[in-house]
Amino acid sequence: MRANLSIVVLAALCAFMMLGNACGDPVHDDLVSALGPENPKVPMGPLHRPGQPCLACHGGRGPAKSAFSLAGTVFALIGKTDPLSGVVVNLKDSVAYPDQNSKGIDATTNAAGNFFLHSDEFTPAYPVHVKISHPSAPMGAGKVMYSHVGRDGSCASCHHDPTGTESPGHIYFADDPNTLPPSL
Amino acid sequence: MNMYYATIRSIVRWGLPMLIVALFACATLGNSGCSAPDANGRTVGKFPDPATFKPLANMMIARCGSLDCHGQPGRNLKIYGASGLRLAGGDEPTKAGPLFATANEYEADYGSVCGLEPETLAAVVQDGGKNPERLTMVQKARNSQEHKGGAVIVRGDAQDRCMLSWLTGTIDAQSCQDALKLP
Repeated sequence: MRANLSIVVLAALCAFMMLGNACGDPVHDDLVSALGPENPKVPMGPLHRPGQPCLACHGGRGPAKSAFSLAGTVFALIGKTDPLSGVVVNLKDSVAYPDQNSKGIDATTNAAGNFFLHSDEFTPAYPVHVKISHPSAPMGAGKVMYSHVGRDGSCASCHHDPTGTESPGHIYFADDPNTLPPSL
Repeated sequence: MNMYYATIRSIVRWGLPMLIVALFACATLGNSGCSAPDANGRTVGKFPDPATFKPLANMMIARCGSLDCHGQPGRNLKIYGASGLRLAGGDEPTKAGPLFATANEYEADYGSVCGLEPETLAAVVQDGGKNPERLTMVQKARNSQEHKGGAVIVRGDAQDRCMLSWLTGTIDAQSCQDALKLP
């Protein structure tokens, strides 16, 4: 009788373990799969996958090892996909925003137009307000995001192409090439 | 060998009755729990006047309707508006501007809010807005029921006053306006 009981318990444990393995998060898995393969011409790292929802992999649930709280890509012009480096992305969360003296936190885009903040350096209290500027661009150039970020740290979750009822399109610095930094 | 037969016997002894119970549960769920609602069913009751909805809608568009929250097409509480999800094909989330929503978007938002729990909403309105936490929308906004966006409304703040006033039938437009200035 004791042997029977042991077998039943063992079988139940095995079943639970199998269930545990099979029941990951299919939504997360699908999100990661939908990103497709890496561009073979770009090594994995800070320059890879511009314009994709960074936190799909870097949100703390893998498969990437580094975890970001907010990340995205800034392109130079409306309707174009040339990246813009050196853009200062200013983020003010609900703690910083009401404080007139608070400068919030800045992140700067790299050569691929990507910027990111690691989870351990900034954990935003949503909502987050965003504006972008460039130190070399003409005075007043840049953008202020009209609405706030409610909870998703991946800019590209909302800012993706094509523009439509569900997306304002990718993030861009300028409508007019004359307001881009002079080096471009 | 004896062990092997003992295992088979225990599976037959326990597995068969469990299989029968599971099949019965599935059949019961299929017949009752998962049946579709009556397509011709209608909720009759006292709902807030659509004419009083606009200030609340403006607040919800700005505070709740961002594209990563209730400005997503798959949400039960779906908020359309100029700064988020658009209703009409060809419209896009705007970059800036004073317009909150089109007339059709206000109408869709009204339907979305009323359609969440129509019987409960009608009962709250009938009671002059008493015990508003009967509504999941109020519970979620205050995070007294788990809300992925957290406590976006604090009891007594401008947003709370705006929402609760609408349930009484007299919209507090000033509170709705004040709510737009919140971070």
